[in-house]
Amino acid sequence: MRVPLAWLLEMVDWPGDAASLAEALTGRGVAVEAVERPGAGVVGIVAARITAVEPIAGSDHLKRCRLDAGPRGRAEVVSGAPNLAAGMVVPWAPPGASLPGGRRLEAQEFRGARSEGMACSADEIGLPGEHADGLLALPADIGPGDDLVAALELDDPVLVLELTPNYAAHCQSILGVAREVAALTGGALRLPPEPSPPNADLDATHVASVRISAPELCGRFVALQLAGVGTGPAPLRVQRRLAASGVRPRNAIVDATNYVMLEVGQPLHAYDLRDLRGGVIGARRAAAGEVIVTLDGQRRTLRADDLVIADGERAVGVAGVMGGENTEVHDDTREVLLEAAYFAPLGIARTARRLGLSTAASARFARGVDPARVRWAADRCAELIARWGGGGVSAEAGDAVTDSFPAAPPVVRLRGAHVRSLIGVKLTAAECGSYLTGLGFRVSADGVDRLRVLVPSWRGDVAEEIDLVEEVARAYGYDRIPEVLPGGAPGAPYRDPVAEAGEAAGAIARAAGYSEAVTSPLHAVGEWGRLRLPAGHDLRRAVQIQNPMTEDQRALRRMLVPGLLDALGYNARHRRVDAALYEVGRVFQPSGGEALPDEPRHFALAAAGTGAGYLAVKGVVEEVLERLGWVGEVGWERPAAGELPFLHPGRSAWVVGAGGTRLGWIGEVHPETAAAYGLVGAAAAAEVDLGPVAAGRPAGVRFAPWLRSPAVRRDLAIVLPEDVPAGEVAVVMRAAGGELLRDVRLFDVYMGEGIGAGRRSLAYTLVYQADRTLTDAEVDAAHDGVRRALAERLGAQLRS
Amino acid sequence: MDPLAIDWAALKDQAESELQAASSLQGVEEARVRWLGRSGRIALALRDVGRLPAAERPAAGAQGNEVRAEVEALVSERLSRLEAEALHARLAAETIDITLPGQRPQVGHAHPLHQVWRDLVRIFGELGFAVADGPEVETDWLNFGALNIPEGHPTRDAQDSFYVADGQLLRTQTSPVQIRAMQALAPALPVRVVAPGRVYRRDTTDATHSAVFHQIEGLLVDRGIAMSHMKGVIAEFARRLYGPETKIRVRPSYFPFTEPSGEVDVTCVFCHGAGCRICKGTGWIEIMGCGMVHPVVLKNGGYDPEEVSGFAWGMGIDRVAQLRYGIDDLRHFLQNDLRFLEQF
Ligand SMILES: [Zn+2]
Repeated sequence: MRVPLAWLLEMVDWPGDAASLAEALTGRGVAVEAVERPGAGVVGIVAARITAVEPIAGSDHLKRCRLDAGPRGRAEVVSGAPNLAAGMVVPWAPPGASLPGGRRLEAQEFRGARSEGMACSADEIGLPGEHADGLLALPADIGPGDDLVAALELDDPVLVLELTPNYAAHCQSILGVAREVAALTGGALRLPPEPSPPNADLDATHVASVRISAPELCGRFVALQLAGVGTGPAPLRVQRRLAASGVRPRNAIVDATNYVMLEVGQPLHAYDLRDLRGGVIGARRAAAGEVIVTLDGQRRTLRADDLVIADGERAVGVAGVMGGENTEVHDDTREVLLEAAYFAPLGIARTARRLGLSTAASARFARGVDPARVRWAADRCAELIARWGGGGVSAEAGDAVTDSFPAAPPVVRLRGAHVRSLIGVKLTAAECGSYLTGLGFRVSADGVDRLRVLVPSWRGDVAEEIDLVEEVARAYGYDRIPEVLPGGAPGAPYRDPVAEAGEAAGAIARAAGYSEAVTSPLHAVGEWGRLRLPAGHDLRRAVQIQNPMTEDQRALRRMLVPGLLDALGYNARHRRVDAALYEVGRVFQPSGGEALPDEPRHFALAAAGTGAGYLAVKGVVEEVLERLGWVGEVGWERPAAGELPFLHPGRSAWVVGAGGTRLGWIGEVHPETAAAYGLVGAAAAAEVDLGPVAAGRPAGVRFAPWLRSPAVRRDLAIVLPEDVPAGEVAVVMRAAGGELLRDVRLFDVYMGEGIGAGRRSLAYTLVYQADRTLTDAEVDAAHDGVRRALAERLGAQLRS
Repeated sequence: MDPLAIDWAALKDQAESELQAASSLQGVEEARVRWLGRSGRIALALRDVGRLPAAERPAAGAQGNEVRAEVEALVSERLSRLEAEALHARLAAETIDITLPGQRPQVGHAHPLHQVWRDLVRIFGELGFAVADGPEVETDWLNFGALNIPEGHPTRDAQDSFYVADGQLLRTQTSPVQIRAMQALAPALPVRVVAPGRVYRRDTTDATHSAVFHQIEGLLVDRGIAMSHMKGVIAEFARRLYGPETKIRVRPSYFPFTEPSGEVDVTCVFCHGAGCRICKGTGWIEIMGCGMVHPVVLKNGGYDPEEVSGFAWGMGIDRVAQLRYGIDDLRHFLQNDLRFLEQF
């Protein structure tokens, strides 16, 4: 909503300037986003009559014009305008005047002819119009010497409002904003003059009646018929106000409908009566698939829940949104049918949104227009058309009202105690009443500390006591409400072990050199191809977006790692090949039924480039699991073929917790998957579900004192078939070593010469210790037990 | 002089000059052996004491022992002196260029969004608000209906929300957690929670729009809660986030789930109210929306609006991070460019 200040000040006084008004309105919730000054800099433009036009020697288009500016004297200017004629009254910018934007005029010479300033076109002084049309011919009500800056409001600032939906209902008009200003200052409102009702007796009417066949969508339909409409344009000042309000001036008829809409918020539409057929006009539901060409030349296909304006034969407009091209008013229109209506706000909002057609009319109807101004606006508009066009009479063709027209405004009760307890300020009911009165509410006492409040017709947004509390709060001023910290008990205790596990995992990952990523949970279906997931693979079972805007918003992720690989690929393309990222986030698992999807929180790692490998990632995961309490209880199981197809089949594992719970997986990324993400070298990743990880976490950490007796170290090297896992060797050693064997450390793995094909050598340090000093004999016995077990149970060949 | 007499003073002088002449630890050691060793000159001289007349022996012996102690002291003084010199020389030789770059450990960086997220949760935690949580795929009842956003309301437009099933969508705001938190606690009081989380809007991604972003929502419901308390909590929060000089301004606004509603501005953190490019010359920066919980929302949460009242607020975590770090393009947050991440 754009508010030319001069128009506003016609209805209400404001003691300060535009900036102070903007600040005061914003403080009351009518947010002024900007104060524009389209005519800033314009000074000293006056009207002058051209008394003579004379040629200038040596030029075929420049002319010398003699000007008479009445009390401002006489002068000569040189002009090349195409429409110069003696007798015209034109804008004259004398030397010392300046144009919008600040260009200052001086006396100049053109081909020996003196030009004292210049005669101006419409656009040169900031009025709507084309430069090429030539000089602006001023209308008869402006005489030579008149100050055009004042008369045409050329330097008037414009307040640009950004209205919230609740204020949009009553502040989408100059009158609505003027009411807010009056409430701020306590000043009087100067309402637009009451129009006289149409009184012409037109027998030869083309339109016999008004018919509403969708009463739930149309509450009222007023049709006035205008005949003998004159041909004049709207006054220049009106045109300037329309242009400043963001509406292009057209002709007196259209300009009058727009002017009244901006003035009081009631949209109007004018039809060329020649094109209306069948002796009837009204509102009905569109037929499904019905097509109408709107004024902007677009074909619009309608649905049965759209409302149209129709004559006896066809739709002539999309109700409350835009008129039809078939009945458009033209410059030669002399007979007009003028419509003012009340439409159900939600219906207009729905149609406008669906058509993607938000117009000045739909923006107002969708918020609910003032029911008390529907008929008023029609009469006012008819009067303005007759006045501006230069003639015409009007008659009522029909005024139909249905049940959906808002009845008398509601009466709402307000308790002073309720206001005080919600605002936190000691206000009496009487004080609340005076704030409400200032906003146009009618207030009377309703017992002690209670008010009976009659809501004004233009405040359709106010229906409950809480709405009145808000009105009192903003009239009192939010800025005057004190800042008080509430007392009371603290909130309920809260722990989120899964979030805590995520924080702990993240801290370890950062210490290990991984940076935290935040990736989008939305992805394209192409992701599944990059992950080598065959059709029917469980990980393709994803929550799907029904209405994505782009292909990369098709589905919700089941895993975090693809997002991390994508980010690693992005970094690689930007010459950052060695990179390591982690993420803690939600993944989405379809519930399979009506229930909401599961949203487990995962922790994932991915690394690319130097050093990225199975063991490097595994070490971080081990560190994380140990920190979270999983000491010595985690197993690593080779995935079955096709279970994790995006991983290297020989370098990947399920991470398995106590009781066989799968906590997640780790692995090197399959070369095809890595390549699909733009990763050339090695890449490895891991992902764990923090839910079971956190659930398995023991209650807390217990301090274990270390043994003071000496530890005895014995080294051991064995040769085994290479497919015997080191994990199994460790299990055998621990079982055989019993309590004395405190630690098993693998320090060398060797395959190659001297070992034999298909075999490998593993070298360990075994640490023996007890709560007393062990004798050599005790250690020897334990160590021999380990050696025997390795030989007997695994067939290990002992090298030392 | 008695031919048998021992000239202890001369011996001492000689030992002293030899020790002074020794310029290395080895030289001192050799001198020590020569003088103090088992067959060193002082030992030999002490043996000679036995040949003295009995009457002279005690004095000569005492004198000899004295000289031996003095030479021993000389040796150790000389040793420590040379050790000190050697250490000094070694340290001097070990001098390095102290402006060489340090050997940096490879340490990961926390994402700026989560740094801000943790900060906000910490501050509200200090003010007595616990974290509450809700799903990102939400029912449209909790995302809209329960929040007093009826069918047909413009913010319900399918054009603005991602739907995953009939009646299920990606939440467009963290506000549904208000209802979940109330329903979980009702009728207990107070409800004092903050809900940070990810939200989604069906929006084209560019420098200032993102389909995926982050909000933090707060809610306090108790007996006798007023707008003054809302202003008090928000002002205290703003001071803890932006510094003790920060002031807030609350302007009336509109949200379906609060009434009265407001927009909160804080004094510009860059110019402290003087006006700058960031605050577009106003001296204020808009940081959040807030309001008194609408009676309908309280009822949907399981509370009687005649008995209790409350306030709620919501703010964009991305926006706080943008302001704090001067990030002008929202797309950086989800790009995970290490040139970006490693700055935080
Ligand atoms: Zn600033």
